[in-house]
Amino acid sequence: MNPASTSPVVARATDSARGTIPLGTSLSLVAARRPDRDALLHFLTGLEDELPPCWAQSPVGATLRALREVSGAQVAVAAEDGAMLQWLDTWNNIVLPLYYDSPAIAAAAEHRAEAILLALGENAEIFRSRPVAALSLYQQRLAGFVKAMLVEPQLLVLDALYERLGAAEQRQVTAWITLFRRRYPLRRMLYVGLTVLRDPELLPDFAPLDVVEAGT
Amino acid sequence: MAAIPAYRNDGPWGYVALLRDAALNLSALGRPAVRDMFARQIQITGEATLSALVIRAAGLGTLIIAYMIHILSADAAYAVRILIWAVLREIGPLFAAMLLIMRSGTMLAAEFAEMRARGELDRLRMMGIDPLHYLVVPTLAAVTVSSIVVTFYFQLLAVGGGILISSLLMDVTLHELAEHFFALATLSDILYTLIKSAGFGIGIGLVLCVQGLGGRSASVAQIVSRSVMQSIFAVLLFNAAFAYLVFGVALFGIVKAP
Repeated sequence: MNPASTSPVVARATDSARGTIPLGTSLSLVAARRPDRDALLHFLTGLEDELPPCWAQSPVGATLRALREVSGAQVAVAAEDGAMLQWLDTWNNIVLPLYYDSPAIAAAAEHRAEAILLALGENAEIFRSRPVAALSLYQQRLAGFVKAMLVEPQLLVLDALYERLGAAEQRQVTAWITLFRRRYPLRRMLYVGLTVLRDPELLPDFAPLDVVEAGT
Repeated sequence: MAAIPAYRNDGPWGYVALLRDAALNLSALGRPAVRDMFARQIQITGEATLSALVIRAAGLGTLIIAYMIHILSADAAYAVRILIWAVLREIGPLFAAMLLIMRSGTMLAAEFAEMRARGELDRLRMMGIDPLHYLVVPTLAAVTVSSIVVTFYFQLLAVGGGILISSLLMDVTLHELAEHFFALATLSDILYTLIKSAGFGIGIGLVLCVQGLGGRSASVAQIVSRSVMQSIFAVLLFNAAFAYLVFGVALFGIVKAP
């Protein structure tokens, strides 16, 4: 199965080796194997220069390279487990990337984080008072999403955000993504995970790039 | 942005390279987030060790004075001279380094190994935060500062406690012992201790960072065990090298300067 060769998004992106992937593009990619996903995240965030072999030679690989190129270093990952650091409390985890750069920016970011959580109908107090270990999977993901959103990335990578959540929580995840799109209509998003294969209707606005299953 | 495991793969030169890179990036301590980490590491390494010192240090000082006066029939001046030599110059820094390794080094090595196992080093790098700046620099600085502070605290307790308890238990006055101490102790003793304890701290910190953050796939227990053994080796190696540099003699006279 390789819809990539016929996907107009891929065709546009491949062409865009000369140009760019259009602003506001939302793409999705199936990656069943965790190592492939990790390697892809490392590639997109600039930690590795090589794509995983399953995409390296395909048109999808060209799209991913173009995506990395047009996003520069401004890539943030909303990770499956929130990518929290266990030695920090939850709130400091959320503002760490900005606090590391400048405490002055971080102070403003705290207000923005509260505003994001308020807009999503969530209680910021939970994240101020609970340690990372006491958060549910959904809350960890939300904390990770807010952390990623705060840095206002050119490319937001959504790492299997829907997976292992109940229907009500999945609807909330859709609300997060909608909020990001509404606030940053020109930024790009890439969803990586199995949801594209299992529940394509959860991501109707995301153009599927390719399907890579375990062992393929 | 170099990954920490790269240092481990270089063997002994990896430690040198990490020390060089950390020294070149000391300015990272100017960042509040890195200073927070420094304070946290000081708390782990310093506080935990200091609380374990009081009785051990005072007991050691008393033991040395009692041994000199009662067993070797030395006078008070000679007993204090030995106390200065043993506690200020040799046993003090070594004992403090061993306590630092056992009390705090094990905790830090285990924590680093868990961080690495949870993929937190990659998470930091994905956020654009270099683990060298955020973890290695404050850890090296904190372990070095802690080593110096713990050593001086140990010496204070060993000398002060030893003199005080000896005056209470033996036929020698507090005034007599204190007078001999202030007459015999010199600034070079303090300088010697300072350099030695700083060297021990740097050695321990380097081992913890390289083994804990950059270790190959191994269990936490293995990494802790390896870190402890290598830290002890680093301390003894530095001790021998420093003795050779200062006195021209090392390893109990086996190695002598030409």
